Amino acid sequence: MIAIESKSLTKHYSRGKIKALTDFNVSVEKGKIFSLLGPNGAGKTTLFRLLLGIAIPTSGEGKILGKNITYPEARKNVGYLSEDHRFPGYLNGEQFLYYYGKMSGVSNYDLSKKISDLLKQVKLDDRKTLKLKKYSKGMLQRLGTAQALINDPEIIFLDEPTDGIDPIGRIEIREILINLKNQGKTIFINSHLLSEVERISDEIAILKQGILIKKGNTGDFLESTGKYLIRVEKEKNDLFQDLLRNKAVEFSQAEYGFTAVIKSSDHLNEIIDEIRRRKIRIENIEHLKNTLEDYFIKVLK
Amino acid sequence: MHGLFQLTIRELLSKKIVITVFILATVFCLTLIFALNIKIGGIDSKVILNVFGSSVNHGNSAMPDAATILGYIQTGIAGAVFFISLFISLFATSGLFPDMLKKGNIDLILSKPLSRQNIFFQRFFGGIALVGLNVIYMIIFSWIILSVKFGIWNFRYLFSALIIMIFFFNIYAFMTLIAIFLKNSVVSLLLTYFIVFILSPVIGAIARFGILNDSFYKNMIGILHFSLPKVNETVALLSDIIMSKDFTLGSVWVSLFTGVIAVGLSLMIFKRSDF
Repeated sequence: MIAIESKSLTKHYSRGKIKALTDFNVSVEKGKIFSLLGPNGAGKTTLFRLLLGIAIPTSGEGKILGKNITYPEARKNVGYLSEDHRFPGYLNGEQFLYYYGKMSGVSNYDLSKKISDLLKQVKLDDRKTLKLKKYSKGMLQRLGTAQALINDPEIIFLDEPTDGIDPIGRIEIREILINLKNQGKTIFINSHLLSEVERISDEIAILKQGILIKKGNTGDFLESTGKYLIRVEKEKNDLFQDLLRNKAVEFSQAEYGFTAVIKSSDHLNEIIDEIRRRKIRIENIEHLKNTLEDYFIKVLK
Repeated sequence: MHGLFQLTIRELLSKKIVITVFILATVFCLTLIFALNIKIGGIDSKVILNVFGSSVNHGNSAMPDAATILGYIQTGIAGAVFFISLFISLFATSGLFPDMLKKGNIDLILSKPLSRQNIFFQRFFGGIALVGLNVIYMIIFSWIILSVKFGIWNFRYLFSALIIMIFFFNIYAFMTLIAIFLKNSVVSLLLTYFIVFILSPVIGAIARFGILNDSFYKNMIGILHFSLPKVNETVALLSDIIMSKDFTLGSVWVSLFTGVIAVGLSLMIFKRSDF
């Protein structure tokens, strides 16, 4: 089933002088983690705003769970964490989740249990009575994540969810996201942290100047370099170099071993057999792939 | 689904100013209980009015009858509630829309399954509700005290709460329109104060005394006088109603009409805006 769909979704400002997003087509299946990448001003936040009814499309259409994005019902099963959130400082964590939960249509009966569970999940249950003006950036981000989940949404839109969070907090947010994915939720992420996106996303789309450059499965972006990093016992480095020369393998010495250009898995196995035959102990073999960052920089240059 | 309405009230309460007005109203009414002492008796039903133990004289002329004195006091209180609550309530509510429209706040609210119309009205009436509660509390509390003290139950005084709220609705609608257009609480408040406390009385005076001869300017003043909040007329209406004089509700209908127009325009801008 399709969770999010857009057809030629376009947003232009100042009578077409500023093209924030042009003819954006996307289709995200339910239960997937979909990430949007792009430099600042690429149109990622504009897309979020259009899909969530915050901005009005110039043309085209969008649907969330089959409902047109121009109707409030489309947002009934949606949770959202905005990038530059401004939560009311006069509320405490518990009150904040109560009021925004009510706005999401959660009944009073369900709210108290959900608030308690979510505060535990984002590890803020001991700070629930603290005013938000005293929360740190990381705490606000975690509370914002709890807010996005208050109505048990089927689709969660997260704009820079790990922004301002320390490494431990990032791991916690990542665990929450993977847990949500395992529950069958669809997650739509906009993030600058490419390593985070690479780890958790099923699909990725790259935007540049409001235009979709590439969309595909995460694996499509992580191409093989055709190289392997092979590390053997130090004492037998010379023997290993001879072996590679004999097998006509192009190689170079790297900091922690040798980087060898290997054509196929058969070729790799052949070399491993030879290493074994010569009684050289293998310490590590790593398939070198392009990272998402490599791809991102290559595409956007 | 009324979370935003509740949040608006919570936001106003957090500003303390509304609670301060409530406390001041209570102190004032308690002062009425203890400071005002009325004795009506004798063959000529003479009224003896004591405030803080001192007798109030009416110059050389005879003291008016009890109903008239009550009318004067109630008119004074209604006028004070009108100006003070208007001034303070506008100050307290001026940030409601500009704050809601700030980036990071409006995004989250619009992402909820609420129509823009629903969001607008929950915010708008959240502001009116708390101001209304304060006005109603002050009028009813003072009405009970004065009625018991005088032994006269002037029900017409209660209508002053409705008149004050209709006028507040009108001004608040103007302020909301400016706030939605400019997205700035300070400018919208200052402009509203200027319109209510300077422009409107001046235009009212020009229109009333027929200062201008040129028909074009005369018509312009007429249109402005019709459109702007009617401070002078509302104060006069409050007095007429409380003192049981003849009155017309023209200014109330115009206030309602122009208020609804301002609300309609504000809603139209809000519904068509990108955030």
